[in-house]
Amino acid sequence: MAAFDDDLCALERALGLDSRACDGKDRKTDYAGLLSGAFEVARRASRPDLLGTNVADRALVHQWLEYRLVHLSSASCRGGKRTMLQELNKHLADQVYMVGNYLTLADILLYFFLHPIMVEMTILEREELDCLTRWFDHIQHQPGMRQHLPPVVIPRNKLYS
Amino acid sequence: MADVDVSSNAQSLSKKAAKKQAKEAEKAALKAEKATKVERVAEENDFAKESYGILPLIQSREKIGWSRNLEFGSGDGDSSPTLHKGHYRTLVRVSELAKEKANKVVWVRARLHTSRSKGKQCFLVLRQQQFNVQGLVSVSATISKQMVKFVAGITKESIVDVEGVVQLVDQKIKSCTQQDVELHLEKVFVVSLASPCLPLQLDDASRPHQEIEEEGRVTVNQDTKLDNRVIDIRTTTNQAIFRLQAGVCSLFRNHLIRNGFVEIQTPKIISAASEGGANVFTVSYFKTSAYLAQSPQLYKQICIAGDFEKVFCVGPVFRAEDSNTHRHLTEFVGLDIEMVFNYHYHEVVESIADTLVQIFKGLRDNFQTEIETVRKQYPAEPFRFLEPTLWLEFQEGVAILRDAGIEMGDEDDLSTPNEKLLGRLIKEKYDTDFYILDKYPLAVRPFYTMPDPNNPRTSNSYDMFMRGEEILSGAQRVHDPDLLTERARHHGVDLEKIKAYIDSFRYGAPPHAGGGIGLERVTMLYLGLPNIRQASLFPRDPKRLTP
Repeated sequence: MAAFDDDLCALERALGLDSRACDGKDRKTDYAGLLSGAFEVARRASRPDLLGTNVADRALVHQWLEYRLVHLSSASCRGGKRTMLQELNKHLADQVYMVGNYLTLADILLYFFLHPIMVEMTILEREELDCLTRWFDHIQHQPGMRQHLPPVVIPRNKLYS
Repeated sequence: MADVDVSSNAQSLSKKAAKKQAKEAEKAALKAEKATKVERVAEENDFAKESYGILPLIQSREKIGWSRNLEFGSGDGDSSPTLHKGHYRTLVRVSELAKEKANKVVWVRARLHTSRSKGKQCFLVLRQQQFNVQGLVSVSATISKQMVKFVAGITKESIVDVEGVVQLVDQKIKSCTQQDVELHLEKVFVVSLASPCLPLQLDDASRPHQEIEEEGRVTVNQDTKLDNRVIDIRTTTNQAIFRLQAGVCSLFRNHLIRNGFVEIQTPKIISAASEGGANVFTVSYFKTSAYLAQSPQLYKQICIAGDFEKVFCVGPVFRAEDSNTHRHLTEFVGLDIEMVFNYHYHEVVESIADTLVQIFKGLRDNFQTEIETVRKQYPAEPFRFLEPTLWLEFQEGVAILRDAGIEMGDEDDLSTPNEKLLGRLIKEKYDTDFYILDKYPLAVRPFYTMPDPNNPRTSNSYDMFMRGEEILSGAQRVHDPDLLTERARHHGVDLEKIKAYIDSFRYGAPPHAGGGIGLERVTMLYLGLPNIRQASLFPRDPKRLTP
């Protein structure tokens, strides 16, 4: 399951963990799936709040991580990408974070997943998905989140009215 | 006994047949009588026969309403033409039908825009250029049923002469430009009948896009509109667009003439391609071939070297670019300026920017009705500009783009999407739709552009933008033959072909600069139209040569 190594390494770095295990070699761990690996990293970093502070939130974090897994394939085709982005945009219309009102694994892993997609969108497309863009800008400015990824510049005011 | 039976049968048959025939004949006769009776009745009862009909072709058989009776000393002692007393008729313009003319009897010549009949009445809309008025024909003591039927049957777009009484209305007629009055018609004559099947309906052609989408109404394809331009240009929107375009031309001319410019005419059949060999039309010229001018560049400069100092020219420009975009035409009208300057080419840039700003102001102050009319079909933000004009250097523009996350090299030209994005960013930052970008990199400009003395990688060249799209490309021209030869060699231009051009600078040429704008592009961008073909009466592009 080396497929999720990039995400898990990035997660480790974001949480301030030593990521020496990510230098090209396979990560030595029993937990190689995305969800299990992410929970293990969060535990190691002593950040159980990232999993959700109550039962309901924990279930939602699970839900969004599942969403990210399921839509990995549909995101490769154009139609699927649009629907997925519009769904996320709708969800974020009245939420600052994906789950509740604090940063969770759902935010972090979705940020890593959406970064390449957001980078190649035009400014007009980003303005059309205004809530998603607002959330993305917020997450990418969290300390330690962006790391080596290029920042996606979001202009302060709307260019296309 | 069978024989007897048959014969009696045969006889009875023929008797029956005969009876039948007789009955049928009677019926037919009665019917025919009735028909002729109705006709006679109809003819007899048409008391309004003199008030309607199709006029014979107007071949200037008689003068109605005006004649050149130059009777000097008649009346007030002036020599203006007098009205011929015999046939007095003045046609009133639809735009003048208002409250002041209430209860007056007027003659109007207009087009029949629409008609709708309901039993004893027929409502019609009479249209004249941008104005229309409601008309009404109803059966009365002076108007017969046949007349109402005739009026209801006149085909749309026919030209009619009508006489009627101007009546005030209680409720404003929202669908017409003349909202306070309607015309109660007494006489209706057809001057020119239109063919019943029109290739497109004017109402469909002038429908705003929003209405089409919301109500699912019919629209007319742009190609159909352009194929049947004669009908399409009758819409109020197109009447407004081309009046405004004429305004751009006259404002351009008047401003430059007031500032001491001389209008010149340059040849369009030339021997060598001026901008580069790729996009030029070739024509056969007796035994050789010639080219259609891509710009009046060369001749403007010869006039400058010929001491005219400040020149401009308005004429067609031919570019054989195989681009089927919303903003390219193969033939368009170029408004070109060239002028000398004393010490710095910015003197010229200010002059050109001032000309454009005066055009914008003139349009804003004198063509507001036209702008509003166009906005009804093509909604767009009003055109905004700053005074003094926003003037940025190319590197500043690049910095703005880089701040927004676009990556580009220092010497890259602006691609079209980047130009549009820069337009948006500048609109958002400075609130202007018009700005100048100065000091372009030398590498992306033509060979006759003067390099910047302080920086060998930049040039003394500039572009002007409206709504994020380029409308003018200009520069200080190289006026030294040796520098020009070197620049041409650097660009790999064949020196033989431009020998005459270089020679024109050998006999003392002043420093000069200039630029050219496209009339259709300026109209399109000022009004915010989506496609340049809407700003050209008879557009030419790689796929269209007629009408």
